[in-house]
Amino acid sequence: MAAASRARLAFGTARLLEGSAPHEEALRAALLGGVRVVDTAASFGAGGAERTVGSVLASLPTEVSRSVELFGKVGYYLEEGAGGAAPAAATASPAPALQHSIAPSFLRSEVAASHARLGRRLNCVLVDSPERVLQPLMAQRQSALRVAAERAAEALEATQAASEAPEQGIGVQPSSSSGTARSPFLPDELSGGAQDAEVQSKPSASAARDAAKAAEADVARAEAALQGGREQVLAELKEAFVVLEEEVSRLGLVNHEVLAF
Amino acid sequence: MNLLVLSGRLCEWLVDFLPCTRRRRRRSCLFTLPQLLAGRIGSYGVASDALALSTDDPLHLPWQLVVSTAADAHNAAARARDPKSSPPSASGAEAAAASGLGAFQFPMNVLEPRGAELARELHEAHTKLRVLTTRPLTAVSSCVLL
Repeated sequence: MAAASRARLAFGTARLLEGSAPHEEALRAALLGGVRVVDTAASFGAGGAERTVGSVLASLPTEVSRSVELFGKVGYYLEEGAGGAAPAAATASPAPALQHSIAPSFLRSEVAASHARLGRRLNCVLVDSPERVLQPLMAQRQSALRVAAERAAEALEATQAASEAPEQGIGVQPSSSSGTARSPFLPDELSGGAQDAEVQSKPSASAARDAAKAAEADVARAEAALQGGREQVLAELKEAFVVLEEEVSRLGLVNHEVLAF
Repeated sequence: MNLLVLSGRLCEWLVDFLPCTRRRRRRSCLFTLPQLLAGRIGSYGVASDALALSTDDPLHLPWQLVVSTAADAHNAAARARDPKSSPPSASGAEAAAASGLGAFQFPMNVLEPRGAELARELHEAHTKLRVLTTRPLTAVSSCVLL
Protein backbone atom coordinates (compact mmCIF):
# COMPACT_ATOMS: atom_id res chain seq x y z
CA MET A 1 0.00 0.00 0.00
CA ALA A 2 1.42 3.37 -0.96
CA ALA A 3 1.96 5.91 1.78
CA ALA A 4 -0.36 8.38 0.10
CA SER A 5 -3.27 5.95 0.14
CA ARG A 6 -2.84 4.98 3.80
CA ALA A 7 -4.01 8.36 4.99
CA ARG A 8 -7.33 7.88 3.28
CA LEU A 9 -8.58 5.53 5.98
CA ALA A 10 -9.00 6.64 9.59
CA PHE A 11 -9.70 4.69 12.73
CA GLY A 12 -12.87 5.95 14.45
CA THR A 13 -13.03 5.58 18.19
CA ALA A 14 -16.65 6.42 19.00
CA ARG A 15 -17.24 2.88 20.23
CA LEU A 16 -13.78 2.17 21.56
CA LEU A 17 -14.21 0.77 25.06
CA GLU A 18 -11.62 1.61 27.65
CA GLY A 19 -10.13 -1.55 29.12
CA SER A 20 -11.32 -3.75 26.26
CA ALA A 21 -8.36 -5.85 25.12
CA PRO A 22 -9.93 -6.69 21.71
CA HIS A 23 -10.59 -3.01 21.04
CA GLU A 24 -7.06 -2.04 21.98
CA GLU A 25 -5.71 -4.80 19.79
CA ALA A 26 -7.89 -3.67 16.89
CA LEU A 27 -6.51 -0.13 17.17
CA ARG A 28 -2.95 -1.41 17.50
CA ALA A 29 -3.36 -3.68 14.47
CA ALA A 30 -4.84 -0.87 12.41
CA LEU A 31 -1.97 1.48 13.20
CA LEU A 32 0.66 -1.17 12.62
CA GLY A 33 -1.15 -2.04 9.40
CA GLY A 34 -0.83 1.43 7.97
CA VAL A 35 -3.72 3.54 9.29
CA ARG A 36 -2.27 6.92 10.11
CA VAL A 37 -5.32 8.95 11.20
CA VAL A 38 -7.28 8.43 14.41
CA ASP A 39 -10.60 10.17 14.94
CA THR A 40 -11.51 10.61 18.58
CA ALA A 41 -13.40 12.95 20.89
CA ALA A 42 -13.48 14.07 24.49
CA SER A 43 -17.03 12.75 24.79
CA PHE A 44 -16.29 9.24 23.50
CA GLY A 45 -16.57 7.10 26.59
CA ALA A 46 -16.26 10.20 28.77
CA GLY A 47 -12.59 10.44 27.82
CA GLY A 48 -12.03 6.69 27.85
CA ALA A 49 -11.45 6.54 24.10
CA GLU A 50 -8.73 9.18 24.32
CA ARG A 51 -7.06 7.39 27.22
CA THR A 52 -7.11 4.16 25.21
CA VAL A 53 -5.66 5.87 22.15
CA GLY A 54 -2.93 7.39 24.28
CA SER A 55 -2.14 4.04 25.84
CA VAL A 56 -1.98 2.22 22.51
CA LEU A 57 0.16 4.94 20.93
CA ALA A 58 2.59 4.71 23.83
CA SER A 59 2.95 0.98 23.23
CA LEU A 60 3.78 1.32 19.54
CA PRO A 61 7.22 1.74 18.03
CA THR A 62 8.17 5.39 18.04
CA GLU A 63 8.37 5.63 14.27
CA VAL A 64 4.75 4.47 14.04
CA SER A 65 3.27 6.60 16.81
CA ARG A 66 5.08 9.68 15.51
CA SER A 67 3.42 9.35 12.14
CA VAL A 68 -0.14 9.06 13.48
CA GLU A 69 -2.36 12.12 13.18
CA LEU A 70 -4.93 12.68 15.91
CA PHE A 71 -8.22 14.41 15.17
CA GLY A 72 -10.24 15.28 18.26
CA LYS A 73 -13.68 16.77 18.78
CA VAL A 74 -14.99 19.08 21.45
CA GLY A 75 -18.57 20.13 22.03
CA TYR A 76 -20.46 17.16 23.39
CA TYR A 77 -19.61 15.91 26.84
CA LEU A 78 -21.04 13.54 29.37
CA GLU A 79 -22.25 15.03 32.60
CA GLU A 80 -19.89 12.85 34.59
CA GLY A 81 -16.23 12.38 33.89
CA ALA A 82 -16.01 14.70 30.93
CA GLY A 83 -12.85 16.31 32.17
CA GLY A 84 -14.14 19.59 33.41
CA ALA A 85 -16.95 21.38 35.15
CA ALA A 86 -20.18 21.73 33.23
CA PRO A 87 -20.20 25.09 31.46
CA ALA A 88 -23.00 27.52 32.08
CA ALA A 89 -23.84 27.76 28.39
CA ALA A 90 -24.55 24.06 28.03
CA THR A 91 -27.63 23.06 26.09
CA ALA A 92 -29.65 19.95 26.76
CA SER A 93 -29.34 16.95 24.50
CA PRO A 94 -31.89 14.25 23.71
CA ALA A 95 -29.41 11.62 24.83
CA PRO A 96 -29.34 11.13 28.60
CA ALA A 97 -26.42 12.83 30.32
CA LEU A 98 -25.04 14.08 27.00
CA GLN A 99 -24.66 17.84 26.99
CA HIS A 100 -23.18 20.29 24.53
CA SER A 101 -21.19 23.48 24.77
CA ILE A 102 -18.61 25.35 22.74
CA ALA A 103 -18.12 28.10 25.29
CA PRO A 104 -14.52 29.43 25.22
CA SER A 105 -13.56 28.44 28.76
CA PHE A 106 -14.98 24.96 28.20
CA LEU A 107 -13.08 24.54 24.94
CA ARG A 108 -9.82 25.49 26.64
CA SER A 109 -10.35 23.00 29.44
CA GLU A 110 -11.42 20.27 27.03
CA VAL A 111 -8.36 20.74 24.80
CA ALA A 112 -6.13 20.61 27.86
CA ALA A 113 -7.94 17.52 29.17
CA SER A 114 -7.66 15.77 25.79
CA HIS A 115 -3.97 16.62 25.70
CA ALA A 116 -3.49 15.02 29.11
CA ARG A 117 -5.50 11.89 28.25
CA LEU A 118 -3.74 11.36 24.93
CA GLY A 119 -0.28 12.16 26.26
CA ARG A 120 0.40 14.32 23.25
CA ARG A 121 -1.04 17.16 21.24
CA LEU A 122 -3.99 16.92 18.88
CA ASN A 123 -3.17 17.56 15.26
CA CYS A 124 -6.62 18.98 14.71
CA VAL A 125 -9.48 19.93 17.02
CA LEU A 126 -12.93 19.84 15.44
CA VAL A 127 -15.76 21.88 16.91
CA ASP A 128 -18.51 19.29 17.10
CA SER A 129 -21.99 20.23 15.87
CA PRO A 130 -21.93 23.99 16.46
CA GLU A 131 -25.52 24.10 15.20
CA ARG A 132 -26.61 22.07 18.22
CA VAL A 133 -28.36 25.09 19.76
CA LEU A 134 -30.75 25.15 16.77
CA GLN A 135 -32.25 21.74 17.39
CA PRO A 136 -34.62 22.75 20.23
CA LEU A 137 -35.55 25.85 18.24
CA MET A 138 -36.33 23.63 15.27
CA ALA A 139 -38.56 21.48 17.47
CA GLN A 140 -40.39 24.59 18.68
CA ARG A 141 -40.87 25.75 15.09
CA GLN A 142 -42.25 22.39 14.00
CA SER A 143 -44.60 22.33 16.97
CA ALA A 144 -45.80 25.85 16.17
CA LEU A 145 -46.35 24.90 12.53
CA ARG A 146 -48.34 21.84 13.55
CA VAL A 147 -50.54 23.85 15.90
CA ALA A 148 -51.02 26.55 13.27
CA ALA A 149 -52.12 23.97 10.73
CA GLU A 150 -54.60 22.51 13.19
CA ARG A 151 -55.99 25.95 14.11
CA ALA A 152 -56.29 26.90 10.46
CA ALA A 153 -58.24 23.72 9.75
CA GLU A 154 -60.49 24.35 12.72
CA ALA A 155 -61.10 27.91 11.59
CA LEU A 156 -61.96 26.69 8.13
CA GLU A 157 -64.34 24.10 9.50
CA ALA A 158 -65.98 26.61 11.81
CA THR A 159 -66.36 29.06 8.96
CA GLN A 160 -67.89 26.43 6.76
CA ALA A 161 -70.19 25.27 9.52
CA ALA A 162 -71.42 28.80 9.89
CA SER A 163 -71.93 28.96 6.11
CA GLU A 164 -69.70 32.02 5.97
CA ALA A 165 -67.53 30.56 3.21
CA PRO A 166 -69.51 27.83 1.49
CA GLU A 167 -67.30 28.00 -1.56
CA GLN A 168 -64.22 26.84 0.35
CA GLY A 169 -63.43 23.16 0.32
CA ILE A 170 -66.17 20.65 0.97
CA GLY A 171 -69.31 22.48 1.88
CA VAL A 172 -72.16 21.38 4.13
CA GLN A 173 -75.75 22.15 3.43
CA PRO A 174 -78.52 22.84 5.89
CA SER A 175 -81.09 20.10 6.13
CA SER A 176 -84.54 21.00 4.90
CA SER A 177 -86.16 18.95 7.62
CA SER A 178 -84.26 19.89 10.78
CA GLY A 179 -82.29 22.96 9.77
CA THR A 180 -79.03 21.41 10.96
CA ALA A 181 -75.90 21.14 8.78
CA ARG A 182 -75.50 17.75 7.16
CA SER A 183 -72.76 16.26 5.10
CA PRO A 184 -73.51 15.80 1.42
CA PHE A 185 -71.30 12.71 1.47
CA LEU A 186 -72.80 10.84 4.41
CA PRO A 187 -76.23 9.34 4.81
CA ASP A 188 -78.51 11.39 7.02
CA GLU A 189 -78.64 8.81 9.76
CA LEU A 190 -74.84 9.02 10.14
CA SER A 191 -74.18 12.65 9.52
CA GLY A 192 -77.12 14.42 11.12
CA GLY A 193 -76.81 13.78 14.84
CA ALA A 194 -73.06 13.47 14.83
CA GLN A 195 -72.62 16.71 12.97
CA ASP A 196 -75.04 18.52 15.25
CA ALA A 197 -72.89 17.57 18.21
CA GLU A 198 -69.71 18.53 16.33
CA VAL A 199 -71.02 21.95 15.38
CA GLN A 200 -72.08 22.63 18.94
CA SER A 201 -68.65 21.71 20.29
CA LYS A 202 -66.78 23.95 17.84
CA PRO A 203 -65.77 27.47 18.84
CA SER A 204 -67.44 30.22 16.96
CA ALA A 205 -66.00 31.08 13.56
CA SER A 206 -64.53 34.36 14.76
CA ALA A 207 -62.95 32.72 17.81
CA ALA A 208 -61.47 30.01 15.60
CA ARG A 209 -60.04 32.62 13.28
CA ASP A 210 -58.53 34.45 16.23
CA ALA A 211 -56.96 31.21 17.43
CA ALA A 212 -55.57 30.62 13.95
CA LYS A 213 -54.08 34.10 13.85
CA ALA A 214 -52.54 33.60 17.27
CA ALA A 215 -51.04 30.33 16.08
CA GLU A 216 -49.63 32.11 13.01
CA ALA A 217 -48.05 34.66 15.31
CA ASP A 218 -46.49 31.81 17.28
CA VAL A 219 -45.01 30.47 14.04
CA ALA A 220 -43.58 33.89 13.26
CA ARG A 221 -42.03 34.05 16.72
CA ALA A 222 -40.58 30.57 16.30
CA GLU A 223 -39.13 31.56 12.92
CA ALA A 224 -37.61 34.67 14.46
CA ALA A 225 -36.15 32.61 17.29
CA LEU A 226 -34.66 30.22 14.75
CA GLN A 227 -33.11 33.09 12.84
CA GLY A 228 -31.72 34.44 16.10
CA GLY A 229 -30.38 30.98 16.81
CA ARG A 230 -28.52 30.94 13.50
CA GLU A 231 -26.87 34.22 14.38
CA GLN A 232 -26.04 32.81 17.81
CA VAL A 233 -24.41 29.78 16.19
CA LEU A 234 -22.10 31.96 14.13
CA ALA A 235 -21.31 34.18 17.12
CA GLU A 236 -20.47 31.16 19.28
CA LEU A 237 -18.47 29.61 16.48
CA LYS A 238 -16.41 32.76 16.11
CA GLU A 239 -15.69 32.82 19.85
CA ALA A 240 -14.66 29.17 19.68
CA PHE A 241 -12.44 29.82 16.67
CA VAL A 242 -10.73 32.73 18.44
CA VAL A 243 -9.88 30.36 21.30
CA LEU A 244 -8.59 27.74 18.88
CA GLU A 245 -6.59 30.34 16.95
CA GLU A 246 -4.79 30.99 20.22
CA GLU A 247 -4.23 27.26 20.65
CA VAL A 248 -2.79 26.66 17.19
CA SER A 249 0.94 26.18 17.28
CA ARG A 250 2.63 28.59 14.91
CA LEU A 251 5.88 26.71 15.18
CA GLY A 252 4.57 23.45 13.84
CA LEU A 253 3.61 20.34 15.72
CA VAL A 254 5.63 17.28 16.53
CA ASN A 255 3.45 14.25 17.00
CA HIS A 256 5.52 12.47 19.59
CA GLU A 257 6.19 15.51 21.64
CA VAL A 258 5.09 15.45 25.29
CA LEU A 259 5.87 18.65 27.06
CA ALA A 260 7.08 18.23 30.60
CA PHE A 261 7.57 21.83 31.58
CA MET B 1 11.27 21.40 16.51
CA ASN B 2 12.11 18.41 18.62
CA LEU B 3 15.56 19.83 19.19
CA LEU B 4 13.96 23.10 20.19
CA VAL B 5 11.86 21.34 22.83
CA LEU B 6 14.91 19.64 24.24
CA SER B 7 16.86 22.83 24.16
CA GLY B 8 14.00 24.46 26.04
CA ARG B 9 14.21 21.90 28.83
CA LEU B 10 17.96 22.14 28.80
CA CYS B 11 17.64 25.89 28.93
CA GLU B 12 15.42 25.65 31.99
CA TRP B 13 18.08 23.62 33.73
CA LEU B 14 20.81 25.92 32.57
CA VAL B 15 19.01 29.03 33.70
CA ASP B 16 18.31 27.57 37.12
CA PHE B 17 21.61 25.91 37.84
CA LEU B 18 24.28 27.53 35.75
CA PRO B 19 24.78 31.16 36.62
CA CYS B 20 27.51 31.29 34.07
CA THR B 21 25.06 30.72 31.22
CA ARG B 22 25.64 33.33 28.62
CA ARG B 23 22.99 36.06 28.68
CA ARG B 24 22.26 35.75 24.98
CA ARG B 25 21.64 32.05 25.25
CA ARG B 26 19.42 32.48 28.30
CA ARG B 27 17.36 35.20 26.62
CA SER B 28 16.90 33.05 23.54
CA CYS B 29 15.65 30.09 25.58
CA LEU B 30 13.31 32.19 27.64
CA PHE B 31 11.84 33.52 24.45
CA THR B 32 11.12 30.07 23.08
CA LEU B 33 9.41 28.63 26.16
CA PRO B 34 6.17 30.65 25.96
CA GLN B 35 6.02 30.05 22.25
CA LEU B 36 6.23 26.31 22.75
CA LEU B 37 3.65 26.34 25.47
CA ALA B 38 1.27 28.55 23.52
CA GLY B 39 0.33 26.13 20.76
CA ARG B 40 -1.36 22.93 21.77
CA ILE B 41 -2.99 21.98 18.48
CA GLY B 42 -1.97 21.87 14.85
CA SER B 43 -5.21 23.21 13.40
CA TYR B 44 -8.93 23.26 13.98
CA GLY B 45 -12.11 22.62 12.07
CA VAL B 46 -15.78 21.77 12.25
CA ALA B 47 -17.46 18.37 12.50
CA SER B 48 -21.13 18.62 11.71
CA ASP B 49 -23.93 16.82 9.93
CA ALA B 50 -25.34 20.27 9.19
CA LEU B 51 -22.53 20.98 6.71
CA ALA B 52 -23.82 18.29 4.39
CA LEU B 53 -27.53 19.02 4.72
CA SER B 54 -29.50 20.34 1.80
CA THR B 55 -29.13 24.08 1.39
CA ASP B 56 -32.85 24.57 2.01
CA ASP B 57 -32.73 22.72 5.33
CA PRO B 58 -33.14 25.12 8.27
CA LEU B 59 -30.24 23.42 10.03
CA HIS B 60 -27.88 23.72 7.06
CA LEU B 61 -24.48 25.21 7.93
CA PRO B 62 -22.82 26.64 4.81
CA TRP B 63 -19.09 25.94 4.72
CA GLN B 64 -18.48 29.39 3.28
CA LEU B 65 -19.84 30.89 6.50
CA VAL B 66 -17.47 28.72 8.52
CA VAL B 67 -14.51 29.88 6.43
CA SER B 68 -15.46 33.54 6.78
CA THR B 69 -15.99 33.04 10.50
CA ALA B 70 -12.50 31.57 10.76
CA ALA B 71 -11.12 34.60 8.94
CA ASP B 72 -12.87 36.91 11.39
CA ALA B 73 -11.57 34.87 14.31
CA HIS B 74 -8.05 34.98 12.91
CA ASN B 75 -8.17 38.77 12.68
CA ALA B 76 -9.74 39.05 16.14
CA ALA B 77 -7.06 36.82 17.66
CA ALA B 78 -4.34 38.89 15.96
CA ARG B 79 -5.80 42.07 17.41
CA ALA B 80 -6.04 40.46 20.84
CA ARG B 81 -2.37 39.48 20.69
CA ASP B 82 -1.32 42.98 19.75
CA PRO B 83 -4.00 45.58 20.53
CA LYS B 84 -1.73 48.41 19.41
CA SER B 85 -1.44 47.05 15.92
CA SER B 86 -3.54 48.50 13.16
CA PRO B 87 -6.54 46.47 11.99
CA PRO B 88 -5.48 43.66 9.68
CA SER B 89 -5.44 44.64 6.09
CA ALA B 90 -5.79 41.06 4.94
CA SER B 91 -8.87 40.35 2.93
CA GLY B 92 -11.29 37.66 3.99
CA ALA B 93 -9.71 35.13 1.66
CA GLU B 94 -6.21 35.95 2.86
CA ALA B 95 -7.27 35.82 6.49
CA ALA B 96 -9.02 32.51 5.87
CA ALA B 97 -5.89 31.10 4.31
CA ALA B 98 -3.79 32.36 7.21
CA SER B 99 -6.20 31.07 9.83
CA GLY B 100 -5.82 27.78 11.63
CA LEU B 101 -8.94 26.36 10.00
CA GLY B 102 -7.78 23.10 8.55
CA ALA B 103 -10.53 20.52 8.26
CA PHE B 104 -14.19 19.74 7.82
CA GLN B 105 -15.84 16.53 8.87
CA PHE B 106 -19.27 15.54 7.62
CA PRO B 107 -21.21 12.45 6.52
CA MET B 108 -21.01 11.08 3.01
CA ASN B 109 -22.88 8.01 1.82
CA VAL B 110 -25.57 6.96 -0.61
CA LEU B 111 -28.35 8.30 1.59
CA GLU B 112 -26.52 11.53 2.39
CA PRO B 113 -25.11 12.35 -1.06
CA ARG B 114 -24.71 16.06 -0.42
CA GLY B 115 -21.44 15.19 1.32
CA ALA B 116 -19.87 14.19 -1.98
CA GLU B 117 -20.84 17.48 -3.59
CA LEU B 118 -19.51 19.36 -0.60
CA ALA B 119 -16.18 17.53 -0.74
CA ARG B 120 -15.83 18.48 -4.39
CA GLU B 121 -16.69 22.12 -3.66
CA LEU B 122 -14.10 22.27 -0.90
CA HIS B 123 -11.48 20.63 -3.06
CA GLU B 124 -12.09 23.11 -5.85
CA ALA B 125 -12.29 26.19 -3.64
CA HIS B 126 -9.92 25.54 -0.74
CA THR B 127 -7.31 22.91 -1.37
CA LYS B 128 -5.78 23.67 2.02
CA LEU B 129 -8.80 22.30 3.87
CA ARG B 130 -8.87 18.61 4.62
CA VAL B 131 -12.08 16.63 4.42
CA LEU B 132 -12.95 13.80 6.77
CA THR B 133 -16.12 11.88 6.10
CA THR B 134 -18.24 9.91 8.54
CA ARG B 135 -20.79 7.14 8.19
CA PRO B 136 -19.50 5.94 4.80
CA LEU B 137 -21.55 2.76 5.07
CA THR B 138 -24.50 3.96 7.09
CA ALA B 139 -26.83 6.92 7.26
CA VAL B 140 -28.88 8.91 9.70
CA SER B 141 -32.31 10.29 8.97
CA SER B 142 -34.23 12.33 11.55
CA CYS B 143 -31.72 11.39 14.26
CA VAL B 144 -32.28 7.66 13.59
CA LEU B 145 -29.46 5.44 12.39
CA LEU B 146 -30.74 3.63 9.30
